[in-house]
Amino acid sequence: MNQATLALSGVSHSYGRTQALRDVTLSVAPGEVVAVTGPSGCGKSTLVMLAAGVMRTQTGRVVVAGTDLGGVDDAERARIRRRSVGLLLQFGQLVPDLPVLDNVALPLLLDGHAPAEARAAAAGWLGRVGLDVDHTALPSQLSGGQAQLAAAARALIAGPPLLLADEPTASLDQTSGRALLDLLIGTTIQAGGSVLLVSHDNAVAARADREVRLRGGAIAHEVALS
Amino acid sequence: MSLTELHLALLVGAPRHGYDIKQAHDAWFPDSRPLPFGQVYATLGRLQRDGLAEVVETRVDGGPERTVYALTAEGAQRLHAWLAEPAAPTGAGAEEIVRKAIAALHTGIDVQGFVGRQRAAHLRRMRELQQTPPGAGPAERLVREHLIAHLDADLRWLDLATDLLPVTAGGQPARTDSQENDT
Ligand SMILES: Nc1ncnc2c1ncn2[C@@H]1O[C@H](COP(=O)(O)OP(=O)(O)OP(=O)(O)O)[C@@H](O)[C@H]1O
Ligand SMILES: [Mg+2]
Repeated sequence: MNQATLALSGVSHSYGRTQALRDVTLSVAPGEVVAVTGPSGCGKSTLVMLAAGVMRTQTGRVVVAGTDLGGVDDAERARIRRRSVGLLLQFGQLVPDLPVLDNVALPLLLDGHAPAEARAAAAGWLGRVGLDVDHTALPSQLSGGQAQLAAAARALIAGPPLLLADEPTASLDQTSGRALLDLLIGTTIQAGGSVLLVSHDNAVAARADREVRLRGGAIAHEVALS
Repeated sequence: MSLTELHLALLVGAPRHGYDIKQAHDAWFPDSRPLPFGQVYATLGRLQRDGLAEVVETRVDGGPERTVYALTAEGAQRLHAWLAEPAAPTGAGAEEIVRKAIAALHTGIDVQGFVGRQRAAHLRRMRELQQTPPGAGPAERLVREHLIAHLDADLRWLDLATDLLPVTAGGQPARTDSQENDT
């Protein structure tokens, strides 16, 4: 098998006295879609933030596209996050005082692309996710579902090999949610990337090749779906 | 029909006579038609004939004679095999999924494994149904969505079953002997 795009081994994580993850080992291969499911508070978002390098690994190893995130400094982790990871978080994804177009262009702007080029790409992605709003609108002027679409455009714009999506369709109606999921999965898989999808929604989990179910921070079961 | 396996599940833990089995069945499934005595005795006779249960005692305590049955190794094997197979993932299979989940919870036989296999079966079916063939009209899509919604309802119900399982320190669910939530 090809080298995994994401590999967690023996990962545990605590917030003070709350143990959010216990000895989680899981990997996502190129071209694979994995759904992480489980009840509220079981550790799904914690897993996503560790995989994205947003939080530092406490115990165990997190390897993204061949790099052990525990073995690099903060600047390098931020660089891997920008280049290799498309991150769609559960809450508060957009920068409040940036217009929607710049929010979407952000990964390219931070990576040193020319502003005009980055904004043109952002406009293209806004079209692809089906977000038809004034490009100068601020996040506070968008509906919850529109903000989710903008965050999806931002997650896809850099063509990341690893897409991490935490409840990507929670604020969308069923039809828009399905369409967004098709775009997120289709775009990433066609480019040879991997998707890790967190959701409470069984219809979303059913889109994956594998389900990993968490319970109390540990893996309760892992089953192939395809 | 899963009545045979259900009787085997009702014999797990301790030998029982027909009346006990009827009582336990009716308590497990308050919603379904009470099990007729005749059917219990006929089923027990068949289980004995097929070597799945055996008579361990014939009690005569004043009243009518009572035959006490116990599960044989073969009967236990048959029950495990039944629970190792997920129920057919169709909306109409809902009753079977209830029978299996309740029997798994009461007996404590690999409950987490059962949940995992059943989720996989349902999610696989949902995945198939989501792949509407090209050119399919809205009516075909709607029939599929109806089935998907039923499967989703089963899975949501199954989540409740999982919630009733205590989680031990290692994150592994413990064996449960009843549906009591003892966490
Ligand atoms: N920043 C934090 N500080 C303290 N505890 C936290 C923090 N973030 C999460 N937790 C705790 O860690 C555990 C796992 O939380 P996490 O957000 O990963 O769960 P989740 O599976 O994403 O839940 P949900 O489905 O509700 O989004 C919970 O008990 C939560 O209370
Ligand atoms: Mg979460």
